[in-house]
Amino acid sequence: MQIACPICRARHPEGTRTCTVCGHDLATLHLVVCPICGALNLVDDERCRRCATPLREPPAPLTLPETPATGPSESAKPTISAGQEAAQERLGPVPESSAAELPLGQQEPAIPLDPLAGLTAPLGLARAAAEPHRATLGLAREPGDAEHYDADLLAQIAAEPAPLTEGAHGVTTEGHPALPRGWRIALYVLLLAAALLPWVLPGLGSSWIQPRQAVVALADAVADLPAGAPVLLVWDYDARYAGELDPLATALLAQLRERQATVEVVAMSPASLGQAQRVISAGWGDQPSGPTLLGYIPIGEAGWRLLAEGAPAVGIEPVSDYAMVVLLADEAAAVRGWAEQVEVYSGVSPYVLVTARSEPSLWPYVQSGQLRAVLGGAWAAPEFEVASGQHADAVATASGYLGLTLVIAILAVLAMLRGPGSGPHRGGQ
Amino acid sequence: MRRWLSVLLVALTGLVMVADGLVPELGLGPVRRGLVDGAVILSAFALLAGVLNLLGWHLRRLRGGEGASGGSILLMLALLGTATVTIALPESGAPEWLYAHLYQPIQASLMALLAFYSVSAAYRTFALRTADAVLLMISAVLLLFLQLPFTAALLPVLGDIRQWLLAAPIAGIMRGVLIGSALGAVTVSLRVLLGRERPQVGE
Repeated sequence: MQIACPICRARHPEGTRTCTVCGHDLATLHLVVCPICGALNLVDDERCRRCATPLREPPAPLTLPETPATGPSESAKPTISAGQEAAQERLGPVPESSAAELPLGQQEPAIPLDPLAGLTAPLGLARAAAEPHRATLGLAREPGDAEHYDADLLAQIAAEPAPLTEGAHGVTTEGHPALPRGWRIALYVLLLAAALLPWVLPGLGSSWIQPRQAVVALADAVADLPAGAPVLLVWDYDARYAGELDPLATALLAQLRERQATVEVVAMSPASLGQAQRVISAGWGDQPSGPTLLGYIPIGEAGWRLLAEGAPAVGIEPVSDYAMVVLLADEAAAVRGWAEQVEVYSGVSPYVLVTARSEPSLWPYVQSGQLRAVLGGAWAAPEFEVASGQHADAVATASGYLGLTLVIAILAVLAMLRGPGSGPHRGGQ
Repeated sequence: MRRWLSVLLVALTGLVMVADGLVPELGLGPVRRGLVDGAVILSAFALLAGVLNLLGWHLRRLRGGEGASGGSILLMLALLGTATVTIALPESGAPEWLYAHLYQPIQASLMALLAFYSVSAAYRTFALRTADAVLLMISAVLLLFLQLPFTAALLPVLGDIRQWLLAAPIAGIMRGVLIGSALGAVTVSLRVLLGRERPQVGE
């Protein structure tokens, strides 16, 4: 039986007292890993909340006496320990034939009559309930008026004959003030200047960069990888977000190369595959020790599900076989696809590198433990280089973000001082 | 009859997936896996059908003399050219060249233009000077500043404020959005299963 750290989800053999990844005291609190489906359960759970496998005392095969007595007598019955008795009580009566006719050790495991009996939380919520900082799920109570109203509303919407798109209309933006031409040109020039800052002042503020916790966690995890450790990069961004995510991807690949990790890359679209090829060839060239490109898996969430179980036809092992999994995505939806289609089935929590706009919507998944950490490309690239001791190009991008922030601040002041207010449109076009 | 057949097929497929996801003991795993494998293959053919449909539409447009034909000609040339090079010369490096020297710069340039649109849109919103606009402006400037890699070094409490903003109000709001979209997904799924929505036949 394995146990898991409730903080970082790392798995350890039963009896481990301290998490080797985050240092959490496992003797005080840990989760129990289901030996059948890999789901995480509370210590007190008698059965796995996902597949109902008994956790405390697995139904051991009943032991037969070495010299069976002739004729049915009390002494000829199989001997059952107290624990086995309790397990048998939970699972229901074992058919006599299964214990008496099969040879020792080959008895079929008893199948519970009702696999869902005794579950107090819906499937899939076990992980959320297991988090110490989360609200504890209680027993279901009788639904009140509000619940009845919600259920009726849902039934009404679900059964509505008209398509949901009926009645949709566009939103007009008429009447919004526009920036006067001269000011607009000045702002655009400032914006260009901000974009050029990384080239003009590459070292600006680099000594002040302080990596945040998520970045340090990723840098430490990479540094702890043994040589040759298998790492899977799931690539789901294309050229549109190359400016934001390439520096971070490049910095990560450089670290993985230094650790001599065995990197495999799978993409979720043809364009992502092209982008991955480009970044890898820039970092590795044509070296044979470079990452292996496994191709791309289409169809979104179904594709994710395929990834969870592995795709032997294209050389993809189940994700649980990798020492580290990192997602690089431009959309939060892609990462949610992982959390809902891969993590639930495999128990593998990845590190996620995303665009800054997607980062906030993924925080709930970090808090629930479904993702190890989320790193926004805009700020994490320079921080990762600092945390991992690299001094490459990404550090320079920090000055560009500073410039952009200043431009937006100037714009805000300008709008407050010069804006026409909420009256009719008075700006020039 | 065909309509009901498609509804029945979609409903059955959906029910198998839902049943296997909720109760793995039913033993529907192999069926579900077969369906997923089939969907992967179908999606490849759907892509091909989409390309043929696109070509057909632009050919009809050219033949009918509707509107400017320059865009249609360019699109067809680019599509056929890329497909020919990729299929006929896969190992030549030409597909990578096309991606690196055409696709990537065009995509990156289009995205870069977004910065200018964003600045213009931000001004339009801020200049309204309503309570909402002021709140939006303060949030935007504050978060942009707090997300900079230097802020925690300037003043450690700024790092804590950033952490709190992301972990409490923003994550709370996003949880609400996620729950809302999940309820919407449940509703739409129910409607598809019940045959009220028929996206599979374009309705």
